[in-house]
Amino acid sequence: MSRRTLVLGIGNPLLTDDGAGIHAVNALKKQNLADVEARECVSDFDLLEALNGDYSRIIIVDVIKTGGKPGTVYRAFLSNSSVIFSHHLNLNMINNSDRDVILLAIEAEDIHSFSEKCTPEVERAISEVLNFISELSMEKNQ
Amino acid sequence: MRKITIPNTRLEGHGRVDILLDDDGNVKDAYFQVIEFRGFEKFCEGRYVEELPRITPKICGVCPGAHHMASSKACDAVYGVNIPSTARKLRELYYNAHMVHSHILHFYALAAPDLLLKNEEAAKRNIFGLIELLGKNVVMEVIESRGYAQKIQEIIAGHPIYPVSSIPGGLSKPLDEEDRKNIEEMAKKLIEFGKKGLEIFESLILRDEEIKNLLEEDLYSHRTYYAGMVDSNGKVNFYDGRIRAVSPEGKEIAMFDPQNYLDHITERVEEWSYIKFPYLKNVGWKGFVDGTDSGIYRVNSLARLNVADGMATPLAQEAYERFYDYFGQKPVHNILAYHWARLIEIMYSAERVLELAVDEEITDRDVKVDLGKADGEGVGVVEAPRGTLYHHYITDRNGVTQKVNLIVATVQNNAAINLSVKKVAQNLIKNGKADEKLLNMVEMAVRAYDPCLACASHSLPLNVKLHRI
Repeated sequence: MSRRTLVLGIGNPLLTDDGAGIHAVNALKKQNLADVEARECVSDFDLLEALNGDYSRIIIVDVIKTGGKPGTVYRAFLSNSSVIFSHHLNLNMINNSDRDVILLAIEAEDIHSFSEKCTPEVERAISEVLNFISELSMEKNQ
Repeated sequence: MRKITIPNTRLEGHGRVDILLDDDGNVKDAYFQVIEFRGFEKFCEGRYVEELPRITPKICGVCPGAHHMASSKACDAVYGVNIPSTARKLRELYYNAHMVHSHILHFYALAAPDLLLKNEEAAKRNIFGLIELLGKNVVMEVIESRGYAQKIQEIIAGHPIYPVSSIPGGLSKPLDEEDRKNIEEMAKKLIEFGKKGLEIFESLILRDEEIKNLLEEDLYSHRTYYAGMVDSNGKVNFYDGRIRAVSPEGKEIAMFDPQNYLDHITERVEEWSYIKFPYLKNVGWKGFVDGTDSGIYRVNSLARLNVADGMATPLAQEAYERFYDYFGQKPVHNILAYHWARLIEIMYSAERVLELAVDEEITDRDVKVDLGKADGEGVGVVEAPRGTLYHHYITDRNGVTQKVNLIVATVQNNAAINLSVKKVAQNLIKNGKADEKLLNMVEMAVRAYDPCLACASHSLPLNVKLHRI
């Protein structure tokens, strides 16, 4: 299996913090990290395609609303067989995959206002996510 | 009064069905509710109109291509320009690839599990259940074909999801010969894939007695009006044409140019839903009932076939004839037939992509015209995968948007979806008994319409452990 990492970003880039996953993907594309590919993810098919692609690690970046402090970055661990996103993006397959799949969720503050920019807390969280991915990528290449 | 709420799965966005039961546990009423509000129309006001073909696709992650096209056409009209022939063909090529892409997603990921895995437990009723049933190779072919459709969109529109190349007056870039050859090869593969989808429907779905009965019985049927776009020969066309509406008996009751849509379509508001309820103005609103006196009309694949005289490509035409032979009537009123109609449309779009890819004009460099002053008003209409999509812009003389009216496809099916969930729920839920399979059959009534509900939002339900990184 290759050493490549695929980062999938989810969200709407016009809805403030909802676009964090997409903004992270766009930033990663500019960074050109070795063995890291990044792209937007819309549906089951994108994830299924990724899981069947030549990647040893897949990182999914999205936002979450739990009522916690905006900008907190979580790693999510799935434990239920009915976990889905809309578009029926079935995350269940992650648990059944032999790939290393990491779900990163940023606590959002505003996912309803129209803006191409995230709130300052979520902007900072995106940088944290990028550092996390960069460090993982370096570990892998050592 | 007891209420059953079904949060809808396997559709684009967030909706739910609320079923109200009377004291005996029988269905008194049922509502399809859309629980999100977006407000893109307001958001677009005050912006230069030429920005809208890049902004409006972000209404949705599944049908951005439809908004890109309708918006570009509305902008052409605002500036009063006719785009070059090659630009028109490239837009149509792009758009047919978009239709293939969207219909593949709906049929295989969202709808097919209802038809092929209906007796499986809910957790298996998904694309992974299909892998077990059809084999990994078939599902990989589905993924590969969707990938071709997405790649064609990316080649022409500059991005696989959010298109950017269509602009007022044409396209920002022509098609290179190397890319054209690539598209031609992918189109040939999509045609083979289109044949396979129709074979799966015939050999697996139509041979299933339970599904066959559901297709032929009354449970999922409504006698409504239909509307959709047809070309100058009366054939289905997704990119351009006139809007034809037919009665529940199949009689043409209107044929109009898209810019005159307000003479034929009007909308009403219900306090319990964020989305409106369009109906045919000249027939009138009679409440949530079907029949010739009720102005409720339907759009999307089945409606397009019902209003048309046929398909403009040979293999799709063959499938179209088979479809109406099977039902022995036109219009077909059963909503589960939407799925079959989508497969016929995949066939048409694949053939049309190939026709356009080998068109001798397609690599011509003349793909845009200069824009003059904004004329102040423009309407752009296409057939989105989910039905007719209207973009109507009013600008000032500097091209700054003053008003935007969008009538999206799903909204036009809203009244009919409500009819369908009520009818199915009333027939299946008795004495308060409703198991998961029955409730899924109610959901099937929603999914048949492939509604798209503010679909760029998404949720991650409970049962997730979160650790700070």
